[in-house]
Amino acid sequence: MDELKTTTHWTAQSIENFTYRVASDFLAQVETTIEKGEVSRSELAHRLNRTLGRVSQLFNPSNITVSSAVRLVRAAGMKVALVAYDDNDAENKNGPVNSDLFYQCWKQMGSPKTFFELARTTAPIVNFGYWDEAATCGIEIGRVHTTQNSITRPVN
Amino acid sequence: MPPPLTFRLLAGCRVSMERGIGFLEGHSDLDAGRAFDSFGGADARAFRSHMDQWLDGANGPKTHFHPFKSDLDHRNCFVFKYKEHRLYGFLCHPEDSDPRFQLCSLCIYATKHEHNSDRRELDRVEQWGKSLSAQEAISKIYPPKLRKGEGRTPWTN
Repeated sequence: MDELKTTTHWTAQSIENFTYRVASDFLAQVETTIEKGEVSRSELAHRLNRTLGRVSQLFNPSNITVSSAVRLVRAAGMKVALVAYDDNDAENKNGPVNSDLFYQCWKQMGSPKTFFELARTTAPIVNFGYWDEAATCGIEIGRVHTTQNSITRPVN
Repeated sequence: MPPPLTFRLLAGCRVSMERGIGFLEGHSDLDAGRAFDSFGGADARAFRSHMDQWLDGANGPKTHFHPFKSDLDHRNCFVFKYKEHRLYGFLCHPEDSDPRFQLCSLCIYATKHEHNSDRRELDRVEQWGKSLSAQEAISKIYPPKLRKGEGRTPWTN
């Protein structure tokens, strides 16, 4: 692994390395679900109609395909998304962003299922009210866009 | 007099302000670095992936890595795992300026086929973690800040 003793991220060395890391992150999410007790390996084997040995093979990042990933998470009662993103690291100096980070962020955003739900979550709060000058300069009603939304709004 | 120990930071990983990984080397017992360098293919990728996950702030799954918090005698010990391969090390906080910074100093390689870790290996890791030579090796990478009128203060686990 001499080629990995460099300052660039090890996943920048080959597509195989990057693919392995992405698959490993994905499988870590499923394994964490198993460790939390939400589903057992034997239950997974039962739902997949496979032996425990065959299920263990599914947890090898080298063997993962999109199809097997979908089968695995569906058996675990979960879903999966392939997410493309731009993290301003075109040369891949920092490696991929952990898939669980995307999941945690999605949950933090209220788990929106559609772009409409996302827009409702992130749209700025619009207040209708009187300007300060209203008392002396006549009534003027305006829209006051604040910089606060459901994310930046302080918790009461 | 035996040559001093050295500490080598893991190369090719994301630089983290919160966590770091390296290898304690310079003694025949300290074979984690040699074992890691000899890994190829899926073994190397698996360990690299598991290390990345820990560096990113993940605390599991335990099939990839875990500390030994419930074992009071080895609570500073840490292990990265893949199949039967084990890389054992200890956690410490070598940054004076940021005591939250966690460094995993990997020491020993072992293969394991039983469920529980061999306590003798953990004992060895604990001993290396407490040794002054290990502290000095790590201090060369993370030099302690000298306060006025004070000598070098050793870091503590």
